[in-house]
Amino acid sequence: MSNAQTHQVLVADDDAVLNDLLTDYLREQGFAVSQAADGVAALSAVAAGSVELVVLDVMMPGMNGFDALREIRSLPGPAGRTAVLMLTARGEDVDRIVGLEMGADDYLPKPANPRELTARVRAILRRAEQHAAPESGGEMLVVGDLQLNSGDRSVSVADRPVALTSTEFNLLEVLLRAAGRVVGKNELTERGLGRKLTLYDRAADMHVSNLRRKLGDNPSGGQRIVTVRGVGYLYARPD
Amino acid sequence: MRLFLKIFLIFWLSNATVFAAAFAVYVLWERDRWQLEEARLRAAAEGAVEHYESGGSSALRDALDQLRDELLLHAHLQGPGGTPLGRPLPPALAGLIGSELDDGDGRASPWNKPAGRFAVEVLRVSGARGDYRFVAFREHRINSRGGLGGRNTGGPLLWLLAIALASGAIAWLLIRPLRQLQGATRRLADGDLDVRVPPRIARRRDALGDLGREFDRTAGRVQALLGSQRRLLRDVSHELRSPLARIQVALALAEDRSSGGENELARIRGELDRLDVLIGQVLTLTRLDSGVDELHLAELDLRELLERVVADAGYEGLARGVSVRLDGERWATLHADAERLHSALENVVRNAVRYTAEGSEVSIARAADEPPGRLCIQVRDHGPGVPDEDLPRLFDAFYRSGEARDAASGGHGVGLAIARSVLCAHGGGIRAENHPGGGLLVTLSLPLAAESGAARG
Repeated sequence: MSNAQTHQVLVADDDAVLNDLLTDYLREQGFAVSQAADGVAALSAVAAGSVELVVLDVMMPGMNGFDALREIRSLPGPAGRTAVLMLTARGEDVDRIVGLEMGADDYLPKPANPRELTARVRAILRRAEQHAAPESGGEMLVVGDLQLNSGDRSVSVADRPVALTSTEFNLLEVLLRAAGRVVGKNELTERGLGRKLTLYDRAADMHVSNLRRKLGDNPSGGQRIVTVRGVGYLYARPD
Repeated sequence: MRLFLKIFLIFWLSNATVFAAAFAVYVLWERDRWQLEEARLRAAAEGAVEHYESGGSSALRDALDQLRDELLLHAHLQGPGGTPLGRPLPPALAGLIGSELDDGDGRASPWNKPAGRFAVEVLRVSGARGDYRFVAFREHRINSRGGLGGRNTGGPLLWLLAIALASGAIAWLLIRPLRQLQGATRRLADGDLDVRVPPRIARRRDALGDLGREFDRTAGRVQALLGSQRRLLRDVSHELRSPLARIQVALALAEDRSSGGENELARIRGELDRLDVLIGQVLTLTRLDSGVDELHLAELDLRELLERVVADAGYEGLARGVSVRLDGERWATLHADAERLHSALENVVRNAVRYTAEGSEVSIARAADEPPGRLCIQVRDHGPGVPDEDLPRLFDAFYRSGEARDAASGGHGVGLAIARSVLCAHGGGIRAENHPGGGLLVTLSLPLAAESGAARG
């Protein structure tokens, strides 16, 4: 780890001019940046293993962003858990919902403010780094039939493994550590997503709804993650 | 309905008048005919009696034969006590008329006793040697008086009723296509561009069919024009995004590298962000209006949604000392698209926050008088309101009333159009009015069909 601060970021966008500009910008912000002009190139770069985070545009010819994301998530090993930030088409709500549902770590509508982009990239990388650190000294969180191992970052429900993205894992960890207590949306976004809650920001809600879908209901039939109106979310302790 | 009544009455009255006139003519004509027949019959009877009294049976037979040949009248004469004179009644006829022959009363209305295919008339005639009965037969068809009405007083009334029914049917046939055309026109005016007249009208070969086809052509043309306008707006906005994205990054690079002149760059940044929001809204609107995306309907806690909107908008209002208040506890759970409904409410509430007077309050409440099956959310600001004549256009994209046009308000006139599209997609609606106590009152209505757990909250 001689180059601890230089993160490998891949920018995948078919707009060559924008790609160059983003590359310049992110390099000035201290990242090591490579480029991909389409989904296929992005996928092979990620599969090669050196990329830590992909800034992935949805609209690309050939293999589009969604297809590339699906392929990336099905890669074996750590490459499959590569962080992905989707650039979705502005005004197309469906895009970001689909992106998050498919396991993107965050999304930004395009055209994105590059400062915001950098902040989100940093947040995602910081999260991954924090969690990568306690490699051996993993802690086991158990609530009811749900087990979360912070060491190998695995989750299982009733001994059945559940595949979560890195962001979903982080959010679940925050909720589990506070099981039985309400976690505000603000706190959840800051601790789970590693960034401030912005105006009309629904990323945390989307991730929580993904978690609900993936984890299923309580053995008793109730929701695991309860929405507390106007406050936030609560992981219900089984009584 | 008034048009229906009008047409019905016109048809009914004109038909009834014609019928009444025809009936009067017929009655007069018939009366004349009766008098004539009566006179001829009596003359024939008196002639027969005269022949009998002067020339005996053979003279009577000749006279009766002559009547038969000239007037097609089969007549017989009976003396006092019913003895046949001249020749006896043919048995067939005698059987037919039977005892009716006794009733002869000499009324002035001949041929009133139908007997089989014959009409029978019996006259009493007084001769020099006593009283006679003159029995005359005629084939029934010659007496056609059974036709129109006869002396049945219910006849004319039945006919008037029949005319009424026919008039009603005609009026309905005329009115129905007009009603359907009217309905189609109203729906077109309400923005349903897919509306076409029913095929039954479009297939007609008359003036109404022409009108229906013209309507379809007009609706199709309007739809095509609006469609191409929207497509243009969408395509332009789409195309603008690429350069906008590049400018965003280039500007950020410039901002990081520059040491002076931040003022100008900040100004560029501000305008660029504005452009960004505007293009985003236009794209949202064009997607909503084109209906490419289906609604993602799910159970939705309206109170939670509203609280989120209130919190966000309240934050935005802080700078101008504007507070946003959510009233009432009766918020239902709806079946709706959370994202879309959120953006609709957000746009309406942010609009209110933008236009309300500095330091005033924006309130959100459930309407007191909801139509059945609807949930109405009312958002009220304390701003200048909107001139009444501008209210209907308030929800058109890029429409801003004169007073709202100053740049300081910062709106783009797309937000309310988005709200309307979202609510329409949910089968609801949105309307604005000026509150009697000042400020604008926007009412968003949603179908409550799937409401459940209204007691919550």
